[in-house]
Amino acid sequence: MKQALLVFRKDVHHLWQELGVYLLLLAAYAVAAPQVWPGKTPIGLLAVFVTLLKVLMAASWLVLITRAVHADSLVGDEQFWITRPYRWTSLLGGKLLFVAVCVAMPFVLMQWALILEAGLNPLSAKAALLESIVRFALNPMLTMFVVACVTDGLASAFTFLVGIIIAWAGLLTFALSGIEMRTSPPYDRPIMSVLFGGLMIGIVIYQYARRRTMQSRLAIGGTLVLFLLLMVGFDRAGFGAPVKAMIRHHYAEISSLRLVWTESVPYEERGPDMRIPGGMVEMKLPVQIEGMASDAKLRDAHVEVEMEAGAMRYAPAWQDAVLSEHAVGFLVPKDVFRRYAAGDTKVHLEVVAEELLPARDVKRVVADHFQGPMGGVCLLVEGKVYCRYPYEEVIPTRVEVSACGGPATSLTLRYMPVGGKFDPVVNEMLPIRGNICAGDSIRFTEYGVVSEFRIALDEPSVRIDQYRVQ
Amino acid sequence: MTTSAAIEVHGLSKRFGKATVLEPMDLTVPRGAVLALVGHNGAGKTTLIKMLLNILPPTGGHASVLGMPSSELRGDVFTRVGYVSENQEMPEWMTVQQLMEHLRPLYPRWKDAGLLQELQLPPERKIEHLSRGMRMKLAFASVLAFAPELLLLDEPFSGLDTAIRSELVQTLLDRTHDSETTVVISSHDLAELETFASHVAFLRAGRLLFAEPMDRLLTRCREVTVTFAGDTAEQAKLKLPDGCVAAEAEGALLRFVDLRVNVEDHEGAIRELMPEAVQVQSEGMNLRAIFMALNKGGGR
Repeated sequence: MKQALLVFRKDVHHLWQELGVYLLLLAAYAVAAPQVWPGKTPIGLLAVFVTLLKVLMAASWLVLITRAVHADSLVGDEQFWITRPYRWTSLLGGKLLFVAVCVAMPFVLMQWALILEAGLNPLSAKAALLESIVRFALNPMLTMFVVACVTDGLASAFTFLVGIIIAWAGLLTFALSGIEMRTSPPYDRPIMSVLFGGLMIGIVIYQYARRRTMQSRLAIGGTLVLFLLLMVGFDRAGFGAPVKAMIRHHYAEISSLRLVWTESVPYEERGPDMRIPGGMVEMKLPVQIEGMASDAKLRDAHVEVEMEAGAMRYAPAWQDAVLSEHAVGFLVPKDVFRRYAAGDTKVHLEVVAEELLPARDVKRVVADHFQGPMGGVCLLVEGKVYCRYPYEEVIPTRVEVSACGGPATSLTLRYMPVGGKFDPVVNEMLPIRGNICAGDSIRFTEYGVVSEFRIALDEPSVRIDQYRVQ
Repeated sequence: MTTSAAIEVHGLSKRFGKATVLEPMDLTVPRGAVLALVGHNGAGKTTLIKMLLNILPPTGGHASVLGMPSSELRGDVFTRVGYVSENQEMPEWMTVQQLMEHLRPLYPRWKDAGLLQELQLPPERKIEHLSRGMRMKLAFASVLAFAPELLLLDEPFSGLDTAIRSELVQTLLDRTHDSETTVVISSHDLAELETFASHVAFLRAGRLLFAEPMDRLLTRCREVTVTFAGDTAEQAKLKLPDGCVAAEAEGALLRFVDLRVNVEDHEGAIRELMPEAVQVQSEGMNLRAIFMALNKGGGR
């Protein structure tokens, strides 16, 4: 620990100018970002400046992490430190301490400042705060650390990093069929994070312990190839069996719910609900879930479809689906659709989803500043209501309000992802028609997850061509 | 494994791809010795030192340093081993004083009192602003301060003027005179090495030609000049036994270097070998002359 602190102190002393610039950037962002939040009066090119600050902050991470690691470089055989009594564990500890204290912590503090500026409590969303930190630590910072470990200069680190990104993006573009990754929640993020975070940490430890740069570079290449194989594997259903097993393990079959075939999709639900990539068609099968409460909502729906016609069998991996009141929509490759379109097809359909029910009902009186749903705050600005949440994932919330004493309107707030953004304040303008007045009564009904379920259906004879979304 | 040797090397070799940089070699350096490692550029001196320090992994064989396998040299062991190289990177942004203060907590024995003054190093000057000589002085100061048991110096005098060289040598000798410190030093400055090295190892094109005490080398290597009555030197040259190298014959004059002198009356032995010789002169050689002769003659 003593040595790690010695290394840490040396690096802070060495990089104090770069650190100063980084802190200034964070301070500038903390001041500028709130000025472009929805509901604020736009100021000239401030939005462009805020975007530029984000780029500069990311660049600062690269500079700080790379220069700290390179101060006691692992590449080469003429470094000063390698014939000095440094223990590699202490050296690595010192570098990680630098990244944690000088790179990550100021960033988290800047995010806290933004949350406080928004009138929110940072600790009201501890899990989301932790997730945000882990995401930034794993994705950009650990990646930069790994690259710094196998390079010996800022230029080479930058080139290496850009090369990796281009190669990775390019290969994925060529390799994937166009469907988004088909692995299904809740396992994809934890598995990917643990697997690839673990591999990258392993490479860092190996490089610090052994200083075998070529092997470490090959390991980075191998990690990228593994990632690509997993992506392609999921995409092409190559790893379908283990994924299916994991999903079946996680989502219990619920006997009180039943998936029922209803022969036809109502006209108003026949339109497309999904982004349809080239080479794919969207299908909507007429199904209905029986046994569900009337006020229940579904989230994170995924579907597994198996089709059999004669000797033909199509059984892709689990994929995203859109579940409406009378149909389930999903994507199928065009050539598959054509093959099955004409004849009778036996269809096995399995659906997993989260069931949400109203969990909390709060009534508020609209004012310039009032408590919103999910621990957030709302503002009334020129007849519009803007709500803010800390890091928070916006769970479905029904909003009912009588706009300036008029007829009541209701809407559901959209789903927003948590974490992974520079600005942790989630802003949402309530898209209510007409203006809202101070003194109006507003009711928020927050939904909560009551179950994660799996239901299945076997339909022996389906004319596939009837169910293509036009 | 005996602990009386500071370094023991058995069959140690190094290849980079298909190129052999060091052929398998055996070498023993006694504790307290000052070993001069000599050879041309590219002979493998730096590679050998780096393998001893576990900076480079050997392709074959093994070495022990201060009683432990060189492959285990890391971390705390370097409180007992010092290394100075002409190419070594330094934390350029630090001042001389900052470097010494940064290193102090790493070593259980650190005695730098008076060292900077002795080497006339400006404490407040940044390393990036030091001259080559000053940098090397600082590198010396940063290893001599912890009184290492083993000191490996790779071309420490390269590009330095005579005054600084002498100053460094003097400081080195003053600080290591207790005879507990073993020094391995590679250098092209053979005249300087001869003044303080107790042992010498000669590397040529990756081969260790010999390693032995300096006095034994200087005793067994003599330069011989033989004068004949007629122009028979060329014929006599052909009859020279093994161990005689760098032979030059011109008319009645034959010059060569005998690397295997093992008799007290060397001139008498030559006369016995060449009865037709009119005059025989056998002279001692310095390290530089031996080095030149070995390179020219290819002997060992």
